[in-house]
Amino acid sequence: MSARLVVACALALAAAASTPAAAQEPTTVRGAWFGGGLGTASARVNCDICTTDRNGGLSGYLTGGMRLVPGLHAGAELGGWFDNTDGVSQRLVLYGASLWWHPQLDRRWFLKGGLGLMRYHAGTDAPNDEPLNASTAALQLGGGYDFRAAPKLWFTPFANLIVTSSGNLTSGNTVVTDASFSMLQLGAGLAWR
Amino acid sequence: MSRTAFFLPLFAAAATAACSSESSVNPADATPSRAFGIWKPGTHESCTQEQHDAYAAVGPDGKLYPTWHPPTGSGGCSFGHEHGRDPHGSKLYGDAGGLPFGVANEALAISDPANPRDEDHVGHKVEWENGIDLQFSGAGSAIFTGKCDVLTKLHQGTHSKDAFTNNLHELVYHIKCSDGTEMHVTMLTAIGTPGEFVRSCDRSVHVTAGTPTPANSPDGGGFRAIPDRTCIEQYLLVPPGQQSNYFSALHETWETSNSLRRADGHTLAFFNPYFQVRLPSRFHDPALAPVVGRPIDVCYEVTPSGEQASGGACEESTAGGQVAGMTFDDPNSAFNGAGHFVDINANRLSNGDGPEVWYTDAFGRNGQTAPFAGSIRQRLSKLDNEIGVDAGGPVIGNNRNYAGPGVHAPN
Repeated sequence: MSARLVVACALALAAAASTPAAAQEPTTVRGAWFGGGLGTASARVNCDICTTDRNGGLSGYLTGGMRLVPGLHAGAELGGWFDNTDGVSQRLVLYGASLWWHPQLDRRWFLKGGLGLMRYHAGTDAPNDEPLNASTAALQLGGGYDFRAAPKLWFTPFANLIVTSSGNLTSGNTVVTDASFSMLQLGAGLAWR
Repeated sequence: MSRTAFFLPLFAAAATAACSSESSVNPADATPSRAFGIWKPGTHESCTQEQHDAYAAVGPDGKLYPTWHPPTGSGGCSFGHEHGRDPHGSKLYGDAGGLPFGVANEALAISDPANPRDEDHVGHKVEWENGIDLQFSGAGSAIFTGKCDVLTKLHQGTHSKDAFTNNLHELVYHIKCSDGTEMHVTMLTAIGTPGEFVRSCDRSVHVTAGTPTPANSPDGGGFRAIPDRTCIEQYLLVPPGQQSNYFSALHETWETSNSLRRADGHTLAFFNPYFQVRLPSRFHDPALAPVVGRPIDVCYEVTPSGEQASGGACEESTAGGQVAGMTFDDPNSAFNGAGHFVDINANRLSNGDGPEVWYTDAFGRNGQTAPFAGSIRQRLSKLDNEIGVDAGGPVIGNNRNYAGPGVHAPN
C-alpha cells in the first residue's frame, strides 16, 4: 500500500471518529499544546534551468506552543516533504515559527501564518553524485478546521502554502543562483491541548 | 543545362555565406582555400567538378571553402558522396557563416606551414537538431531542464587509412541552449593518441598504426574506436547457422574531448560530442596493403573452418550472394559509411567575465581577445554554466541514413 493511501485512510478514519463541528466547543483552550500531522504536498523548485513541473510527495509536521491570548496560539514547527522518484530523493524541511488565529472564538476554523527557514536536499545513492542543497527564508500561510476527537484531542484538516525567498542551490562548490521553492500541503493533524 | 541554372547554386550559396558570415568578400573574387576544389568525379559520379564546386562558402578569413551539398546535383547527377543532414533547417545555420569546410585546416597551415593537416572532401559530415532536451545526471535529473539547438560538423572519413594514424580532424560545433549556454567553435580536434587507434570491439586494445600527419600532432582526449580484422573475425565471420553481428563488427565511435583555452591555460569551454558511424567501408588489416580491409570483400570470404558473413548488409549488398565481385566503391554496397549520428554530451562554459569573441589557434588553444596569424574566431556566451551536475544531450541522427542516390565509398 502506498504511503499516500495510508495517509488517506488514516485521515478518513480520524475524520469518522471525530465529533461533528456543530456540537463542539471552541478550540481556544489555555496552556501548552503540541501536535503533528500527515498529508500530501506538491512542491516545486524554481530557477532559470528548473523544470516547471510540480512534484507530489509525502508531507508532515510536528508542532508545539502556547496560547498567547484567546483565539491566538503561537508555536514552533518542523515540517517536511519527501519524494523519491527515478532514484532521486528530494526533501524540503521547514524550521518555522507560526501563529494560529481563530478570528471567531465560537468557530473552529482558523488561519495560520509563519516564518522560517526552508532547507532543500536532493540526492541519489550513487557515490559519485554530488547532492544539491539550499537554505532559504520561508513564509507560510494556511488555514484549517478543528474537530474535537476527545476532550483534549483535536483533529484538524489543514492546507498550507509555503513559499521561499531566492537563494543559492549548491552542489559541491558550484551554485545555481536565484533558486526558490514552493510547497502546497494538504493533510490532517492531531493536536493535544 | 542552361548556364544560368548551372551557376545558380554557386551564387545562392555564396550569397548566403557572404551574408551569414558578415563577409564583405565577393565569392567570385575570394581566394580558394586549401580545401576548395580538391574533389574530382570518379567513374561512378555523373556530376562535374564545376557543379560540385558551385557549393561554396566564404569563410571568416575571406577565402572560399567547400560546404554542404546534397548527394545529387542539378539534373539529378550524382556526386557519389554525402555530407549528412542539410544544415539549412538548423536554427543555428545563420551562426555558421555558410558552414565552410576546412577553416581550421587552413588556420593550421598558416600558423605551422611545415606541418599542415589537409583532409579529403568527402569526410565532412553534418548533423543537427533543433530543440533537443538536455539530460542532467544525478540529483539534477529531478529538477533541471533545458533545451538546445545544436549544429555540428566533423571530418570523419571512414573509407581510408587516414584515421588509423591521424587524430586531427576538423570539428565545427554550434550550440545554443535555453540556459544561455552558447558556443560557436571551429577547431582541429585531437581525438585520442596520434599514430594509433583503439579496437572498436575491444577498446582496451590500442593498435599502433604508423606515423601520423602531421608528425607533430598533439595528443587529445577521447579516442577513435575503429574496427580491425579481429573484429571482423570475431563478429562478421561466423559459423554456419549463425547471424553476423554487424554492429559489433563494423561500428566506429570517435569520442571527442574538446576545450577552448585562454593563453594562460584557463579552460573557457569544454564539450565532448561522440561521433558514430555504422557500416564503414574499411577496417584495419595489417595483412593487406595499404592496411585497409574492405567489408564487402569479407562478404565473399569463407574461412578454412567454414565461417562466413551471414545476413544483414552482406546479404543486402550481394543479393544473398548472387552478385559476385562487388567492389568496395560500388553504389550498391551497403558498406558506405552513410549511417552516422552524434551523441551530444557535456557543454560547459567558464566565460563569465567574457568577452564573447575569442581568437584561438587551430587546436582551440592560446585564446586571445585579438586575432593573430592562423587564429580562428570563436564565439562563447558570457556565462559560467557549471552547476555541479553533468548535463548532456541526446543522440541525434540515429534514425537517419544519408545514403542518397549514388552514394558509395569513398564517402
